[in-house]
Amino acid sequence: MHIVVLILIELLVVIGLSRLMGLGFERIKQPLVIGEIVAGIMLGPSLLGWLAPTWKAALFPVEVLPSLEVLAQIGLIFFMFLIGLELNPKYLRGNLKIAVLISHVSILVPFSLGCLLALLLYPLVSNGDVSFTAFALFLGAAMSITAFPVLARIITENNLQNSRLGTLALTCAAVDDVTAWCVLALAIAVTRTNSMAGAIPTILFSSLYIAGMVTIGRQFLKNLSKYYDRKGKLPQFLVAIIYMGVVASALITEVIGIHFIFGAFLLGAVMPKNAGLTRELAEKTEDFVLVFLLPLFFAYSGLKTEVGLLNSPDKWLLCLAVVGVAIIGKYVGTYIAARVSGIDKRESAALGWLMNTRGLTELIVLNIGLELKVISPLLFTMLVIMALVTTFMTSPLLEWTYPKRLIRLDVTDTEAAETSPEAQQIYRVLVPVANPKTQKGLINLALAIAGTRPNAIVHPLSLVEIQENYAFASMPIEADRLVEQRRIQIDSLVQSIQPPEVRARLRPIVRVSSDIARETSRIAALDHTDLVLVGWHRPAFDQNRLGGRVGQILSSARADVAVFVDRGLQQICKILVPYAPSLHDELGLELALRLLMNGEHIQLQVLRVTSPETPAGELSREFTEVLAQLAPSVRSRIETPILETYLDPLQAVVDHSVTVDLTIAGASRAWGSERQTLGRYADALVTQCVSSLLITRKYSQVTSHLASVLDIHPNESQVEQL
Amino acid sequence: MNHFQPKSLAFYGGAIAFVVGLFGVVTSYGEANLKTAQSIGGEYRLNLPVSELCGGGKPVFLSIQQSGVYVAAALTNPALARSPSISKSMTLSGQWQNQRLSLAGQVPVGVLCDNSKEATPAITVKIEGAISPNQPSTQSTTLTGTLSLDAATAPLIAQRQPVSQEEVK
Repeated sequence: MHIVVLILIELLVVIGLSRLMGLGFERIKQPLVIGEIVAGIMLGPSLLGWLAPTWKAALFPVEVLPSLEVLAQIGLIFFMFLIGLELNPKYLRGNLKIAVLISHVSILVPFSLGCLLALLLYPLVSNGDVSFTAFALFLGAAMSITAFPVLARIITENNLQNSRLGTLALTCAAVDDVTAWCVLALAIAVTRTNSMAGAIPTILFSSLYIAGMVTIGRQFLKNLSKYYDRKGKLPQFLVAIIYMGVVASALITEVIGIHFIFGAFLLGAVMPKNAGLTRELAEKTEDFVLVFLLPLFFAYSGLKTEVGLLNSPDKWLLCLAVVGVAIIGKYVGTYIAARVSGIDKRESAALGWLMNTRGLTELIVLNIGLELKVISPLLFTMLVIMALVTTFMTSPLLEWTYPKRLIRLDVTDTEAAETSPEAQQIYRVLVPVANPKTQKGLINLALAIAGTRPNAIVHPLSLVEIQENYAFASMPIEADRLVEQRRIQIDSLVQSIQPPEVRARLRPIVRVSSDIARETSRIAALDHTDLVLVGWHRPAFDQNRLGGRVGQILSSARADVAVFVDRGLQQICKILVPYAPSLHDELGLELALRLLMNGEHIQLQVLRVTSPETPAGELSREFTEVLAQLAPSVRSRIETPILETYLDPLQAVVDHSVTVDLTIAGASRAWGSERQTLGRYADALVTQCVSSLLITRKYSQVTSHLASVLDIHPNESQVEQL
Repeated sequence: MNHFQPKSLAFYGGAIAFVVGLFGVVTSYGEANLKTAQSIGGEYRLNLPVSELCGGGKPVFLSIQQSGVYVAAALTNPALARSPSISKSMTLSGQWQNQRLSLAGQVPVGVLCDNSKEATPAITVKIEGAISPNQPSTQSTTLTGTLSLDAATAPLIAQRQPVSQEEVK
């Protein structure tokens, strides 16, 4: 087969599998990068080569590997440029004194332990041509890595970027990153010359080059930045100059004797952090690099990873020692330094786990080590496993030591007060707002349901979705900018709500999320939300009534949910509840009564339809008991007619909806049995109902939507019902 | 920003001095006392009286991938491979210590026995031997020892081949 054809097939397989595994790992709340690294390993001798050696040999013959390597290395050069570009001095905004101390100790401890571990590993897994000094330096550097890019994304995903822990971790990781690259450069220089003394010229030239880039290079790039500001956009000519700069810088560092990745990183790091230029440049560069080239680097790296080499207990013990030293060194170093700096135990522990994130940066270091033959294939495999384990464990251990509910308290003190027992009596409506410009009606309905009492709050929830795990938009500073932009839109929505006094009951929540439905459900649970009110949109691509996020929220929210189908609702005067005895209809009835008690001019019609086939259902005992507790002025506004019809009961309800402003109906009993539908009856109502419609789905049998307006405690009402 | 306080400077100075000192001691000890295993990685051409074992007698190559004392290897037969440069599956593993090489594992039966009529797809192979001191200038590294196929054993002599192409596994 022609080599180009083969490479194209490889590209298809690598990109496809890499995305698939990335999605799979995202589902289990792991960074995309873990999935991509695993995909690379799967294509190599560890899985494909083990299960189907002929296939592996046919897909990755040795002749193709040099071409694959070239593509992977080009990807690596531009990825390093992106890492440098993302390294913003603004990240050094945490307590710098503490951060510098923590990051230095968190490098020195694992580095020292790595050097000691080298005494054990060198005679066992190193080959004769490598000097002990180079080996120890490399192992020490590999142990001290913290992957700033991966850590930054974990922090954004956990909405930690503005917390004390998040800013501190980012500052430490940024300092760690730069320090670790310097140690690696030293290790490469020593390896290439095989002695410390031999490396001195390389170190001198490197220092000169760095100084030149920071002064002359930076000045030149500042001029480019000014040119960008004048133009207001990034022309291809400027992109070409910058890319040529990246390649030239990479070449210079390679000639100096360190590695080409440093040149690319350095150019990115010294680029002026002009927000517009940086964003546009990153967005132009990242799609091709991250989607196309970087998976090739993972695949190339995976081809060299042979888990099968660990085929005896003694090798696994050595691997365990490597993983153990890496974790303990980083954790203990960080934890002790944080405690000495006065940080509490929980935060120190969380910081220790965060700093253990090694991910992709470690993989880059290891590939350089293998390429220079400082580390052998067996040690390479052990260190890849270490990188995977330390990155994989970060998210669950962070959640364990620093649960999300505590992160939330850390972010906003005002919300902390709301976890008191009194605060938990507050009736809360959570309103996911996808587009602040079009969802005023939804907010008004939520306010009408919440009512005017002070013990009711409406939380407009606006989540800024970060879809691309590695995109520039998922960096903390960029995520902050997007959150701020969305907050302004939400504030403007709040300010448009009339009358002004109700605005005090609107408490917007704006944050980033990689999974809108899951995050909505999580916030609903954390906030003790009584009702999630979502707006319904006509599906763009299919006929499923619940295609998209509404269906996902309905399926996953552990709270009562109401779906609002707006047909131009201006004000609520007449409400229709077509009643049939079911859990979901009971919720509809409760919400209707709540609206009734909150609005003095609202009329409620609880309609029961009978036909020869279906007799009218009795009103529930709970409803009749509630009716008895209502003030006469409220009770007088309720009608409970029974309509006998030979028509389809649905058609009767549709006909009745002409005369009302809002129809409230429960989801059909079978709503969850078919995917992405509310059930036949509710689905038909969505399309045929003339008035605006609220479809209700009951989740919690404990939640009482009337307790706060009837002044009865939910538990009391439960006892009464029993 | 008070990094230049005497206390901070003393701490950083002390910590860095400690690590540099530790690194110095460890590397001096390592360079002086620790020895790695001699490099034996590469491709060896086996001169086997295979007929004694399972009939045949065709050229077979032993590719050794070394990680210190741990060794992985593959036995390949160029006549069987679709492409001579197809990466090899390392099915043998063992150790290289005290100038002694020991390898064991499973090898597809056709690699060694071209007239095999046996149904078993793989055969257990054991290689025991010594490798003469490496002389890169002459490229005359030689492996001498024995090769066992299941129960049968035969003497083995293998010559390391000059490196023709760097293969990335």
